[in-house]
Amino acid sequence: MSYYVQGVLIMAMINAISVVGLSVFTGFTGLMSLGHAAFIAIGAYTAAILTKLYGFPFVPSVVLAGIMAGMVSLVIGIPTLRAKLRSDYFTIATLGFGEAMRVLLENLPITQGARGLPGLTPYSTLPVVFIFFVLVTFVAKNFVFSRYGRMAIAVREDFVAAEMAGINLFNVRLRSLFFSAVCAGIGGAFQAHYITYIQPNMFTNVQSTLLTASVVAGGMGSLTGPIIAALVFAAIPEVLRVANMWRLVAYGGILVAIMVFRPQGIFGYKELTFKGIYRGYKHLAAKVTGQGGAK
Amino acid sequence: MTAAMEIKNLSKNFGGIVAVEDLTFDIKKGEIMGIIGPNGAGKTTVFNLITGVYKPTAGTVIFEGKDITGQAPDAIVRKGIARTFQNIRLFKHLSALDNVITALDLNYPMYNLAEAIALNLPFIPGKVKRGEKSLQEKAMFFLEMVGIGDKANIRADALPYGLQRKLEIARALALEPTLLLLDEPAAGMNPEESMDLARLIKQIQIKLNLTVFLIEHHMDLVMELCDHLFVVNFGRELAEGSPAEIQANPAVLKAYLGEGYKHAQS
Ligand SMILES: Nc1ncnc2c1ncn2[C@@H]1O[C@H](COP(=O)(O)OP(=O)(O)OP(=O)(O)O)[C@@H](O)[C@H]1O
Ligand SMILES: [Mg+2]
Repeated sequence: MSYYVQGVLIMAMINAISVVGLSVFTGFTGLMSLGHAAFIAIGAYTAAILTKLYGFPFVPSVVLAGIMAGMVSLVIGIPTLRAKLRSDYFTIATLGFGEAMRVLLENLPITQGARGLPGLTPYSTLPVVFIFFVLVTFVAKNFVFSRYGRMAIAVREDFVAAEMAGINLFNVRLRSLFFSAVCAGIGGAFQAHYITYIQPNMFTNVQSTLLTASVVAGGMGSLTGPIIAALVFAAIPEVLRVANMWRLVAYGGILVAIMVFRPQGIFGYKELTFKGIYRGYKHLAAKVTGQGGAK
Repeated sequence: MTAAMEIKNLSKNFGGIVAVEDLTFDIKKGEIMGIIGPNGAGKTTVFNLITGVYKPTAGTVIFEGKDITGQAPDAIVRKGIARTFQNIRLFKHLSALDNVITALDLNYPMYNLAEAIALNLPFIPGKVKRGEKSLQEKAMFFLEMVGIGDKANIRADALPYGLQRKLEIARALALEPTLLLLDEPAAGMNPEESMDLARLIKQIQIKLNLTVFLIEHHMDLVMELCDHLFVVNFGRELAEGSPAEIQANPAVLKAYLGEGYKHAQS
C-alpha cells in the first residue's frame, strides 16, 4: 500500500472513531452536540502531554486520553442533562463548552498556549489505529444492540413515554455522552500522533459541526451509516487536495444532496450488514440478468 | 375495600389557566374507576399530575398509603403505576415486541453494562443473548394478552391505529403495575370495537388483579365497564357516584351527557 493511501486510511479511521462515538450519542439519544471537537482536543492534549512530557508509552496514553475526555464530559453533562435542558438549549451549551475549551487550551501553561505542542512522535500507525477502530466499533455495536441501546432509542423516540416506562432520562443520556467523549478522546490522541503537532486552533467548531454532520448524513440510529460518512468525509480533503478552497463547498454539496435525496441519512435507522449486502447483490444480479427477484 | 390511591385537594394552574382545581377523590383497590367530562375539563392533567409529568400547584397524591406527590415519572412507575397516552406515544422505530421489552426492563434487567459491551461475542451464546431471549418470551405474553401476538415484529408506527392503542396497553402492562391509567383507550374506535375493548380491559383487570383508572368519551364503554365514576367540568368536581347515579344526575346531564341521555344497555 502506498504511503499516501495509508495516510488517507489512517485519517479516515481516526475520524471514524470519533464519529462512531458521536453516533451512539446523537443517533441514539437524539441530542445534538456542537462541541465534540473539545473532547478530541482533550484527548489530543492528554496523550501528547503524556508521551512528550512524561515519556509515557503510547497505547496507555491513548486509553488515558479517552478516560480524561470521558471525565470532562461528566463535568459538562451532569449539570446540563440533570437540568433536562430542551434539546436546542443543550446544543447551545455544547457550543459554548467547545469555545471555552479552546480558550482554556490557549491559556494553560502545560498546553503551551497558542504555540501548542510540536514534535510529537508519529505513533499512529495503520495497525494500531485499525485495532482501536475495530474495538470501538465492537463496543458501540454491543452497546447499541443491548438493553442500554434500547433505552437510548426509547428516549430518542419519545422521552415522555420513556420516562413512563421507568427509564431514567439522565442516566441514559449521560451514559451515551460519556461513551461519545471517550471515543472522541481516543480519536484525538491518534490525531495528535499522526499529524505530530497540536495547537488549540485545530479544534474548532467547524470540526464539531463536521462530526455531527457525519452522524446526520450517515443516518440517525445507525452505526454503519455514520462510519461510511466519516470515512468519506475524511477522504474528501485528500482527494480534493489540489483545490483546497473547494473542500467546504464539496461538504456542503454532499450534505444538501443527502438532505434532498435521503432525508433520513444514508442508512437512517438501519445497519449495513453482510446479509443486507448479499441480498442487495442478489437483487441487483436479478435485475441485470432480467429475472425478477423475490417480491 | 381500601384505597389504592387518594387524591387530596389537587390543583394545577398553567399560567393564568386553572386546569385542575381542588379535586378530592379515592380510587379503591381492585375497582375500575372512570373520570369523565367535557373536552378541556382537566382529565388528562389529572393523569399527568398522578404520574409526575407535571408537579401539582397544590394538593397531594397518595398511592398505597405513601405520598408520591411531585416525584419523577420513572420513580412513580417503580412504585407500580403505569399509563397509556391520549396521543399515542410509542417508540416508533422499534418493533411491537421491542416496545414491550423496553418496559419489561424495569423489573427484569437481565445483564449489566460491562456484560453488554464486553461479553456479547458474535455467534457465541452468552448471558446477553440468553437474557434477550427470555425477555422476548415474556414480551410475547403481554402482546398475546392484548391480542396482537402475530404483530410482534412489525414496527410500531406501521401498525393500524387501533392496534397501536393496544400495544400501548401491552407496554404499560409489561411494567407490572398495580394501578393502570388509561387515557381514552377507545379513541377513534367505532361502538362495536370499543365494546370489544371494554371486555378486553375487564379480562385483563381480573387476570392481573389490577386497579384501573380510565378516561373515556365513549359512554357505552364507560357505563358498562366502570364501577365508579368521577365527573369534572372546568377543572372542578361536578359529581361522583355509580354509573347509574351519574346518568341520573341533572348537573352531569346538563354539562356533559346532554339532556335525554339514556344508556343503551341499561
Ligand atoms: N401543558 C399545558 N400548558 C398549558 N395549558 C395546558 C397544558 N396542559 C393542559 N392545559 C390546559 O388545561 C386544560 C385541561 O386540559 P386537559 O388536557 O387536562 O383536558 P382533558 O379533560 O383531558 O380534555 P380532552 O377530553 O380534550 O382530552 C385545558 O384548558 C388545556 O388547554
Ligand atoms: Mg385528555
